[in-house]
Amino acid sequence: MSAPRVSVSASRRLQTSLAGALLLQGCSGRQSALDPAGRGAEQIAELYNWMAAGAVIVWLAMIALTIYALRESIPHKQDKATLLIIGGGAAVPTLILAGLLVYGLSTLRSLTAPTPSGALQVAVSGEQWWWRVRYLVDGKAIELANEIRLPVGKPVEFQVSSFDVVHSFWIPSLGPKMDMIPGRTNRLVLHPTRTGTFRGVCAEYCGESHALMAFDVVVLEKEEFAGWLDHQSQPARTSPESLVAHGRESFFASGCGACHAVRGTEADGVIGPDLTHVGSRASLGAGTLANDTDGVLRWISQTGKVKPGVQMPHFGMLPPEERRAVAAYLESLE
Amino acid sequence: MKSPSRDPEPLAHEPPEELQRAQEERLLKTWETQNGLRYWSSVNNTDVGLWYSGAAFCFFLFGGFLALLIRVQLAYPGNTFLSADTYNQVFTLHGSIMMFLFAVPIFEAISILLLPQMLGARDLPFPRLSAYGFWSFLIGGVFVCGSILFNAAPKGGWFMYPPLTTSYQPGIGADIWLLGLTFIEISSIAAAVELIVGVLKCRPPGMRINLIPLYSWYILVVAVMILFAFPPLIAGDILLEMERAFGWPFFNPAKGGDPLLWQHLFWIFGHPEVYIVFLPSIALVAMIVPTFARTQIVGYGWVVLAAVGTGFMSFGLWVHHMFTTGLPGISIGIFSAASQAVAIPTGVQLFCFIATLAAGRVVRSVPMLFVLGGMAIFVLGGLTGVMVAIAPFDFQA
Repeated sequence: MSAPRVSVSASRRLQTSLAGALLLQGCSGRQSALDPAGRGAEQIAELYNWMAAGAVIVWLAMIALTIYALRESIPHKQDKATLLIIGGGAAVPTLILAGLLVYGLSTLRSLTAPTPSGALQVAVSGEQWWWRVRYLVDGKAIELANEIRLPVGKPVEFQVSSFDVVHSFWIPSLGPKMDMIPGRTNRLVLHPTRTGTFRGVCAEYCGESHALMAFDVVVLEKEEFAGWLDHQSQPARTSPESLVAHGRESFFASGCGACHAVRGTEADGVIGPDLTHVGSRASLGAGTLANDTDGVLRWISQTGKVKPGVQMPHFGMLPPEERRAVAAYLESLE
Repeated sequence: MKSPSRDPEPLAHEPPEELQRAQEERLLKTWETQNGLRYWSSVNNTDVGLWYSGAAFCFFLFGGFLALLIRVQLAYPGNTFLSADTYNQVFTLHGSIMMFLFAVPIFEAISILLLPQMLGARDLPFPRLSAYGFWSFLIGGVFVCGSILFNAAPKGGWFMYPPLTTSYQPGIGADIWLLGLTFIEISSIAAAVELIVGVLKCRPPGMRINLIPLYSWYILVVAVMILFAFPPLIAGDILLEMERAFGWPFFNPAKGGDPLLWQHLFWIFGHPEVYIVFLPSIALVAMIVPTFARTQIVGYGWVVLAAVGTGFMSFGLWVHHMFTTGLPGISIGIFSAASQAVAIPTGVQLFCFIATLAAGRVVRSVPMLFVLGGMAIFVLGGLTGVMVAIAPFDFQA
């Protein structure tokens, strides 16, 4: 049996990580908490740097002290020993930890501060194993899936919840993670500080395809973002191309619309991801496959193989030309 | 002034020699290890301790084998060595085995083996209880481990968070985890009772509680911790099983339950568990260091105080496993501070060991080298522990 490549980006990631190891650039990348692109991530990276440096010093001091104690034999004196034990074991750690606690709590305070007024509101629901994303704009919701775009320099409030099991919403480049717990809506404020493409992941084990539950995050300039959001709020456009029209027919004949919505058509399913602008997304299947013809074809013909446990049935029984037509239709939904 | 004592007075005269010999023979006959099949009916701590350690070590090897499978699967992205479902079974079982079938039982096993000898006792106070605990452990352990041979192993992670484990994983895996590990929890509690009474009641004449070996102190603390830490988990197991089997909605928000209830029940066990695993190891260090430094431990009282303090504090830290569940800032702050504070008694213990090393002339034998390597690793682990105790760092870790 040939080994199917689960992710097109996987081998690329391997190459990147190997190259990264060679160039000692392991800390950078689109999913690194130490290469921050958001205010929260910046604060925490700074906190980490201080703590890591401090920890190295404490560790070296402890090792040096142990080696000294091993080599020397100092006659035991009760009061000196008590001084060492209480001074070194209790007093010094208490001082260091008190300082660290003040620093940590002040960071915590700014991370959990109330949402600034005028923040963009995005509701994200974790579902096995994808993300339902709803931009709450002017009292109405624009529903998308598996991709989040944000304006740079503007706070955004995520209202995270879960449809089924416990998930955790995490964009390491931007800031803290937040658990998505059924029956609750948690709040998380992120503040992107530079443009770029990042990767978000589910950070709580959530079942068979937990490892394939990711999403793309694109931070754009404000105007670019406004244009994108406006485009996403529009219903799907139709293309006159014959292959696309054939694919569209096949899409509806195969019953895809029972689970998926394509705004502006009769497809209004709410079980699966909204496909109105699926062609505009960077990846397919919640960060599983690259969004190109090859990816779409693999997704619809080998769904369960690409993403084990997924609820969507595969459509490998459709004739190849029909699958190609459906792929062309989905790609046309930009 | 002589303090009142119940210690027996020595006899005025030695008994006659043949009487002594006859008594010795009778004694040895009574305590003789049985042969053949009867060997397995033994309840003596030496036999049970040996079986217990052996069984825990076998589970450790099995858990390690599963870890190798995990590493092979993770060797490169897109590997198809294990299916997603099998992988989830393997890592769930690996975590559960290492925690419940190795880390806790191995300390109980070693204590059952060593404690009476250390205290100069012939056996523990309830030999049948330790044998009961061992067999219960073995049955539960084989039951849980064997499930993977039938592709029916639990796959909800070693923390078994609902609703994944209640409504979203059909099959009997979660039931095997809940029922099988309840056996092991019961055996842990049995051993804890045994060890507490053993330390308190099986001391030789004249060995007061402030004179017992440090190992016994640590075991006393850990056993008391088990007595308080395991019941919440057993309660949680029962609730989860009732939800699975009878549809009682303890953790289902749609019916008025709350998934966070399980997380609290699990981690109020799970965090003390960290110290239940840690303290017995440091107990060995507390014995090895003075032995190979060829001097008495410096600061016996401080070590005892620190061990007791760690035990108490470990029950007030569990929320640091739940920092990202959306709790209010004030709760996070309190548990963050408490999690850091536990570093202080640990620091006291380490400095007692350093002071002992300084006071003595150290023999660099193998056990001592193990202790030194262990201290280097442990300080490293402790420092990263302090780092993740700072909630904001935990958010990104």
